Amino acid sequence: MKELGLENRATLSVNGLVKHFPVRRTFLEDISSLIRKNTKVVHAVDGVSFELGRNETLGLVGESGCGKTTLARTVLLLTRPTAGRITFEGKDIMALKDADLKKVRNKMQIVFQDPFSSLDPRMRTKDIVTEPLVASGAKDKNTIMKMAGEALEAVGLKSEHLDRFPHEFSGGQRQRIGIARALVTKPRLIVLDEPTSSLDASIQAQVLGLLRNLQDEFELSYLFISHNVNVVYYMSDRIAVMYMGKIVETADADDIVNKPMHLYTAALMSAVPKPNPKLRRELVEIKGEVPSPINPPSGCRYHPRCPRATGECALEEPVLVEPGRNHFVACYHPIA
Amino acid sequence: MALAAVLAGDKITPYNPYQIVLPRRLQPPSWTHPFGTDQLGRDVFSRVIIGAPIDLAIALIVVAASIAIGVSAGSIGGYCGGRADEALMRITDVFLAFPMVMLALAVSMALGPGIFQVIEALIVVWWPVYARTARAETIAVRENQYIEAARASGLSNLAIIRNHVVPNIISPLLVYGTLDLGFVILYASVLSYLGLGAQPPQPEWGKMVFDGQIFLRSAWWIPIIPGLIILIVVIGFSLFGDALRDALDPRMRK
Amino acid sequence: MSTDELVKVEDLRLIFETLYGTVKALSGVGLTIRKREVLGLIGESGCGKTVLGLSIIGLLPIPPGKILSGKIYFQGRNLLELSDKDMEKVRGTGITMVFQEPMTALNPVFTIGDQITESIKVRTERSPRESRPRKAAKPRLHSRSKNSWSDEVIEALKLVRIPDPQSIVHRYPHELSGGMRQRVMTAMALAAKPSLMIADEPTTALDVTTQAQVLKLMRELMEEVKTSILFISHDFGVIAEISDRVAVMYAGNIVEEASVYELFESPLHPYTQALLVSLPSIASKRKGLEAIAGEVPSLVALPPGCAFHPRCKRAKKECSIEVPKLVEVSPNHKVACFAD
Repeated sequence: MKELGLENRATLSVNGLVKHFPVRRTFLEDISSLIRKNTKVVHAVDGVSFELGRNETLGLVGESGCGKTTLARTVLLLTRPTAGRITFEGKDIMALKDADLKKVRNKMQIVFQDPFSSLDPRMRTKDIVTEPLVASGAKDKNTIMKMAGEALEAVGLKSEHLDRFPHEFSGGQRQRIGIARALVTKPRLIVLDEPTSSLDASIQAQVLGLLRNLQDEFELSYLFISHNVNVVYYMSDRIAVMYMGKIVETADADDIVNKPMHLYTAALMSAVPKPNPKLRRELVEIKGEVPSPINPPSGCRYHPRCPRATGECALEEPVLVEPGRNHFVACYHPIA
Repeated sequence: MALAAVLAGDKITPYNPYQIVLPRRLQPPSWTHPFGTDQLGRDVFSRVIIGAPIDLAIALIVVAASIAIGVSAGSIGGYCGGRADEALMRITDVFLAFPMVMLALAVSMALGPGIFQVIEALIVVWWPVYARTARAETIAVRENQYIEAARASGLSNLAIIRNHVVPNIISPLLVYGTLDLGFVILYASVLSYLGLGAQPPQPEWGKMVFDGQIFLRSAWWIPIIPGLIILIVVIGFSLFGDALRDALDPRMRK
Repeated sequence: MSTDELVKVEDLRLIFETLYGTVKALSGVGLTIRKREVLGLIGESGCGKTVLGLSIIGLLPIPPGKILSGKIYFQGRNLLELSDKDMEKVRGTGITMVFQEPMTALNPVFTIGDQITESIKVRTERSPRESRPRKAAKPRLHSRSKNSWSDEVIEALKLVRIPDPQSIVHRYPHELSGGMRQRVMTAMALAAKPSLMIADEPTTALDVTTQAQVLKLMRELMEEVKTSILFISHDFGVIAEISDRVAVMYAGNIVEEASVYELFESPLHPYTQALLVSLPSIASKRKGLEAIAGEVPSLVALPPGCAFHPRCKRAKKECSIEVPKLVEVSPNHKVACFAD
């Protein structure tokens, strides 16, 4: 188990983060909903809280529609939160002025999923990698180039690659360029949004290994988001499970996988295909389909599909409690 | 080829294109006058060559300006969405509601005759198409993750449009533009034909066709040759446009 | 062909002529699918697994594709020798296919009921239609035939455990979720009671929990309908869940073939071994993964001899000269490698 940061404050602290999107309708429906004051809203992220320390990886798993991608964007203020507080290295970043926000942005970077669309095909590698530096106001060309060269070397590419265009590289190499771009401003925190989901299995291991090495070398904090539970388990110290815009369970990686308390987590873990036919397990029951995020179920959002649901589950939403050491779950009938 | 003619234009006219030599009028193509002479004895060849820079200039200016205006409006509208986009769409709707020729005519008549007026009229007519195309391309480009990456780096919206959106949408627009060069010449010719553009004695190709049409039977070279030249130039531009597109795509570079 | 063999592919060589060169999609592929089994075909992107599946069902676009040599036996007949008309009869009745993206494989302007009806019609009328409903002609439904078809349609939907089939019949594809659409596709593929169903990454676009349900369904259906499944995927976990036997592909060749337990327990080919060690899994500890050095070769520029040898730790001299053949080294376990 890795040594967690021993500072008093976490690198990233998120409290009650909410992000709602208005549902796009036709012009007339917009007017009618304004008059009736019932604007429909997509509850993408509905009150999420977590902490991330230095040199620590928090994995975020969930299926489509759970809100993890929106959460990634909101934490970095790429989209304005509807409510909540985000504290980075002790500062409330939503209260920062533009100039200060730019400085903070340098310390919080992101790596995207698609190695093909995350790099501008008309820009050379050196321009892609130096863009965050230029955007934050760096002027001295020599320093900028030097930092770009260092970033490329850190990800296993060579400085002669700086002049090339993205299409001259393979998928794995392009993902490395994306990582170099995230590293060039010497960040403290990197949000990784499905960084290996578009890569082949044999390349995935290379990139994951690289990410781990970089974390050790630069003491980075990772928010690792993926729908691939196997990969998240491998990379994370702690894992948070999201469902319909809420975190239903957070615990150490081993506990999430081997001792899940929430019924959804249990169902998810039993559904993950393991590369070993002897481990074919019985599925933990999960009924029906994911409901629409415009009209989430009342009370516990999982109750319509949960085999243990009772009356109270439909009435009020369960809050996160801590039945085990560092193990949080939001459920009225957790698995003991 | 047309470019060569433009550049050399002034120097290789063997005859003064404006010089009226009445005894020599209506001579068919020959060695001394490769394209013949027109009804006022002027050498057609020289007039065609001198007309080249006029038409080309019109075409280039109109297309360049239309692209510039169209791309700016279209990319901003497409990227920002919301009200700016709606406004752009409505404005272009108004312009596109009219058939282009009619609109060109109307604006041209309002502005009065003359080459510069023709240029202005055609720009007014032409830019909405580019704006629409630019907007559509921008919307496609906007979804790419490199745009998100640029925002994550802290780039302002304007910088993103300038550095990322425009370079990625410009290629099809330039191809479209080179094709249009030919069409602008056609439109300019039509306007001149109708008396709104070039004024005598300026040798503009369209005007030459108009002036020469009464001689279609007797001295066919007067209207036909400028017309053929227009055709060749239009085709030439479209081939050029294809080559340009291939050259511009960094993916095609080895 | 022995009696329990359904499909036998022999030495299939296939190329694509492209602007960039000749793509050697399949370089002498040999494969056997038995009756009533699930054969998992696993490989990374570009290894040729989809091409192989399409070749068997005859949906490969022939220019630019070109079959150089080889045979594909199905129920005793060489499919490559069949005329287009005969092949069409096989498609949709003997062999069907399920694709990855249910949204694009289902025609958005026809109801679910219409589309399933079409698959059933194919079986009974044996009219020339492609197995992909999208390109097929409009089914003619007047009130009499609507009633007489609809029972079978409902049965097909019940078979794939879709809730409330009576109302689903009238819905359009975009009204259903991804998981439901995949079930509908499976229903369509099985409505004709084929001997072989080819499934090309059918669960890749689905959520984990939905995927688990669909896989479970496929296994159950295989028993009920008595069909074989060629299950193509890049995901080892999924292959481990559903397959009876597994064939591993690399750069246009089958490099290993064994029962699923044996493949995962004692993989023999260096590629299989390296790949299994490089996979993160919740079932293994979180220690370091061993990555495979290098990249997958381009099918336009394959290395000489064994395609894997530049990345192989146990490569010998002969590996760069000759392409190893698939041989049976232990009962029912075949490997194509010199470094045994």
